[in-house]
Amino acid sequence: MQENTGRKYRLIFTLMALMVLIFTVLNICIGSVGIPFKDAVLSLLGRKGDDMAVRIITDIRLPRAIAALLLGGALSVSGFLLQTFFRNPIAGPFILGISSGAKLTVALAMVASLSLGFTVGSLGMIAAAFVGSMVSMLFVLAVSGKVGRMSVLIICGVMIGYICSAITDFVITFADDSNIVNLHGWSLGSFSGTGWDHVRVMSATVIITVFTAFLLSKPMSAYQMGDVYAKNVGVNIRLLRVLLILVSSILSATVTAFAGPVSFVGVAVPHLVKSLFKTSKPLVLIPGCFLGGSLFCLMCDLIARTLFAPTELSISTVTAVFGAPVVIIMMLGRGKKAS
Amino acid sequence: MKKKNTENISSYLHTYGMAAGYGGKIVVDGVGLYVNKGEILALIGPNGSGKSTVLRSITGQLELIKGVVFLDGRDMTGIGRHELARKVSLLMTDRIKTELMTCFDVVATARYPYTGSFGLLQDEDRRIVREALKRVNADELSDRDFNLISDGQKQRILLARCIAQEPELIVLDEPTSFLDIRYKIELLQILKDLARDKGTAVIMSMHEVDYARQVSDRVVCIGRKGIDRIGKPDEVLTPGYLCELFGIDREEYVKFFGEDPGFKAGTVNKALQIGYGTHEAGKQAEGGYVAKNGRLLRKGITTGTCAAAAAYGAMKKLLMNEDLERVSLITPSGERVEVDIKPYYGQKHAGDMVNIIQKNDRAGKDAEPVSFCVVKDSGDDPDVTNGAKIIASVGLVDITIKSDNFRNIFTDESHPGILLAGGEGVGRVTGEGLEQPVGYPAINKVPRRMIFEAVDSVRNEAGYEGGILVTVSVEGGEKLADKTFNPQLGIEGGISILGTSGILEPMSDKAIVDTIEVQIRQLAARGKKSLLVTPGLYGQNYVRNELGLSLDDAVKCSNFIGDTIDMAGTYGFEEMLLVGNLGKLIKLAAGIMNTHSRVADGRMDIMCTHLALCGGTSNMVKEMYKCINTDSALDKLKEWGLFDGVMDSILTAIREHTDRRAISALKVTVKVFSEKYGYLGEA
Repeated sequence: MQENTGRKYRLIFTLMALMVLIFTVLNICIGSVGIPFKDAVLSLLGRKGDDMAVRIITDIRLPRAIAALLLGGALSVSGFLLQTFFRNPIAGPFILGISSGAKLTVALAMVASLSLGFTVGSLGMIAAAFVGSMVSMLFVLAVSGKVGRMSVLIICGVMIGYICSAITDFVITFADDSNIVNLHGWSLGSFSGTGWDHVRVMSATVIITVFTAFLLSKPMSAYQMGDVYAKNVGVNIRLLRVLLILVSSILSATVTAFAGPVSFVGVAVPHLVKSLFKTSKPLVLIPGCFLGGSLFCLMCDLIARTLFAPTELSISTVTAVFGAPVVIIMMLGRGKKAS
Repeated sequence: MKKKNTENISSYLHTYGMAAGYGGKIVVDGVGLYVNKGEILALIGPNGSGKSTVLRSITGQLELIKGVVFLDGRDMTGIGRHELARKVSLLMTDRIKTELMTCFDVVATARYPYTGSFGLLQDEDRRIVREALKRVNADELSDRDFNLISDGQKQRILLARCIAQEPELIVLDEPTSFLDIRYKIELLQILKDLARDKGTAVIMSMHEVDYARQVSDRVVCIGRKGIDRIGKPDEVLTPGYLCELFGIDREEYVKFFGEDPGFKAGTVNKALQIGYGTHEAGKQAEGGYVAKNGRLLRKGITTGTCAAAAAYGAMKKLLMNEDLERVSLITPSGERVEVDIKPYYGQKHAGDMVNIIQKNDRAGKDAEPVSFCVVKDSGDDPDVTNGAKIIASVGLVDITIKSDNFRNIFTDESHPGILLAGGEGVGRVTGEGLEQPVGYPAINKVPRRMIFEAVDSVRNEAGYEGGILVTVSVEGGEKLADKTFNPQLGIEGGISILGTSGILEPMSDKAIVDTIEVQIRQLAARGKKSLLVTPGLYGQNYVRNELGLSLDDAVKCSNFIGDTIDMAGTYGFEEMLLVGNLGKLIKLAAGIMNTHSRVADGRMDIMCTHLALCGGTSNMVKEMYKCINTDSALDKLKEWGLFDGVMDSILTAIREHTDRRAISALKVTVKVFSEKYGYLGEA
């Protein structure tokens, strides 16, 4: 039996990795300028091909695909960590208003930098987003300390989301600059405009943080049994909680800093991955969620770019179309089980 | 073969002056309870009396408000999370909700303290999980989703989780509530088996008084005002007392059950203050006597118990200025004894230690060193230490000073800052093979622990964090020591502070065998391969005077010849020479390996048998049978001219029996002599 599950996990991981690879290639090849697979590979290897195709691939599509891959994975892992923390599968950075908090501070930082004439680097943006997500997070935690019910928390999260969005819109409306279009696009969520310097920063942050999360799998699995039993087997609960919050906040802050708020990935993907693996073991689910999130965002970004080309949809529009039904089905399923 | 020293049977968990509650608010105060390994302790009490609070506090889930919990002899706050996780497992009433976890997964979470940094299960872990599932009869649930099984099944799975954690103590909060009768019985039976098979200690709260009566070794009753009674279930759980505990109206009870609860029935001992403390009530509550040879003998206390009680009293005076006259304490064997203590006047700290004692470390308090003593009561089996004054002196010390005077002083990791020294009259170890290193005072491990715990409990109570020097001494100990085994054991200058149970059982055979074992072990440690054994004084004299051998390394085995042969074999001796008089050793010819007359006589029976074997007539046998001792029997043999033949026959029989008893490569030679006829022969 142990052998079988081990083989099953390996198979699913291989398939997922393969799918991620395929969709990365598709994302590179498909677009308003179609580039054949052969040319794409050749230009990636730095050989001949026409200048135009090479530039489109190396400067625009490849960094964008990498961003979708990394940020999608990060978002999904962040959601899984929050679900573990709250011991509730509906928790996620977007639903709890954490992404919106990050969005607000990033918008403020951008507008301030534009009007005062200095530029905020990638790390600065992540820092700003982290501050915003921590503020929303602490608010949610304060509420959860008073009211344990998840429905109240979600309503809180949605309210925080509205308030932050309103303030963000307000700030954007009164900001005066040509970059406003970009800012507007970002505030709806998009992977566009990702450059190589962004990729460098985001890959460092995401890889380190996801690896940290992976190292937490053992205490996380014990934590799933509830505080009493987790403590009984020797988990330092207070430390684990702090780490879960920090790691998930850094992850969602990184996503928001580069791609704006991306909805539903944090809830829908972990749920799908759990159903796929039929387990809740963090050791399996953290890498699983990362691959699942990558795949999901690569697919959604492909659709966002190509469906109404040359007009681009915001990434959240697409993730919501696919993610929200998953969440609704999940809630219905839980309701049925409860009754 | 007897195992080496029997396992230490001190309480596995005990609490001192513990107050439990939430957020600094006390729910239950003065909690004193203890449980030994292999025992089940049941907590009984009305809803809201604080049973769960107590359970959470003794398992480290909840911080203590006051007092100390000792686990396996150590203050629990000093035990790390991971180590604690290997010692104590829990089954609480909290409902857990899992997601996509099979019952196997749930049980496997208990392996957390044993797995590596990613928590991957090894084959051994899986085997333990499967075994735990089997123990609770739930193997068939292994692959089922934990969320989808019944409450009764869940409870069994959670119990399997407890078992898979391989704890030494299992704590359960109302494990049987919400279970039907069959599951209740099943679950309690599993706990009973665990306690018996694995020696696991079990503490659980429960509402079902009848089941508690069946399953527990001891019950603790928690009433509205904290711990009310503690004792054997049959003695404590009388209907009358239960009405009182649960606040049931007497008329209601009669109306419902149709009989009077008998408020006066049952002689229950009101629970005493457990642990160390004063108590005005009478003598020992239970078990103060032991039956021996059809006679009730009063038990006594060991020198270790005396020293711990005196140290406690001295500490109370030193730090809290309280004058105690009696200390009630739980001995390591789990029995309560009450010990009278009194102040002892005169400096008892060893001379070179005096200068490290501080006199005014504590603001506003007189911190002159204090000494208390206990007059040792050996019970109805007086030994040389009976009536001796065991003195404990305590004083404040600055432990940050690195002093050369700190040599040969005991310290204990669990009780930092406490130094234990041996004073006048307490022996000093000069030879290898004892519990203590050479140069240290002869204070054994268990008494040491009792003293450390006693001292630390007062230190905690007083909130004092500095160092304490404890010196144990015995008035006239040096002279007393000559009458003990100590000179042979290489302990000089005084008696030993010892006792593994804390209680002296009159005429303890075990104590004698243990002493023989210590001697044999020491000789083995010195690389000896041959052993000289005599049963007693006669043998010793003969060895010295007639055989001209040195008695330095001779072991006195008293009547325990079989045990001695066993131990000689176990410790790898190649030869054993047993020298003794015929009166004792003739019994070996019939395979009687304990030669005490209480065990068997048979001397003349053996004589008669061998006489008949060597051609003695019926009349000779009849005459022989009337002889009163072996010497007169030998007279007859000489007279009949059968002396040599019969002696040969007897010696052959002795050889057969000793050869059969001796294990491994041990070769036993027996030399037999008689007072009157001298050397008789060798087997």
